[in-house]
Amino acid sequence: MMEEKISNFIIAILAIAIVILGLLLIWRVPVIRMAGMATDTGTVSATVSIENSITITDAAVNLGTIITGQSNSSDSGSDWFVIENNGSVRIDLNMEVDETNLTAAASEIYCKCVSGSNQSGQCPITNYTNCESTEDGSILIATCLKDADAVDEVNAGVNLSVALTETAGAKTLATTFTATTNQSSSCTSS
Amino acid sequence: MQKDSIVIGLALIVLVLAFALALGLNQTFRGVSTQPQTSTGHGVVYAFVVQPTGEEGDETAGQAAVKGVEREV
Repeated sequence: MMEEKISNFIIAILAIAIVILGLLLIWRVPVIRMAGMATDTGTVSATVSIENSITITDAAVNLGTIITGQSNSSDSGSDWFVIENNGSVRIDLNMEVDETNLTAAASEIYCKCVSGSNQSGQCPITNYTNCESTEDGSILIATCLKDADAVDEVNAGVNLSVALTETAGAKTLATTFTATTNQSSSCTSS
Repeated sequence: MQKDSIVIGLALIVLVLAFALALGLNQTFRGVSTQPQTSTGHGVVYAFVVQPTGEEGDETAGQAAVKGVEREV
């Protein structure tokens, strides 16, 4: 008697499942059609895209003349990189400086992030931190930088410490900024 | 015994329908694509490195150069 009740219950559940799955199959999957049904098909094409884009609106920092054994930084000359998020998403920003034009391994390059009036998000590197491309790799200088015009900029500074053994002459150091889309809930909800 | 067979049959039908639904939905949405998530920008740091010469007492080369400019002015 008990077995008969359970079986009836199971049969009912399975029958309901079949009906639901069948309806879903017909409703949600356009490639499956019932025989004899007059259909025609069209295609809606869409590309869901996000634009991750930055512009370095001030792309040069001139540290002037530095005597070997001494250092100079963006602070002393008030000369900063200005990076603008002109995409459509919030970004994290990394920075690195290529040290290959420095001859002395003891010469050091440091980077930092500076809060500006048009800045948003967080600036985790506010003290000069090693950022040489080969020796240190890129460092995260800003997180969750917004894309709205009024708050889409961040300033970055460089400090160059010249070793006593560095060769004299003009030094040109290529700097690379990399923006990574930040779609974490903690960023997009702020 | 007869009910057992019905239950097994219905269960198989449910499995087949579920599989077909999953396959169909996969085909429907497989065209969704995403854009690259990173972009880069480039800048340059300029500096001119000089070595101290020790000329004019203990002045550095930079200080001597500045004085030279002042004398010319």
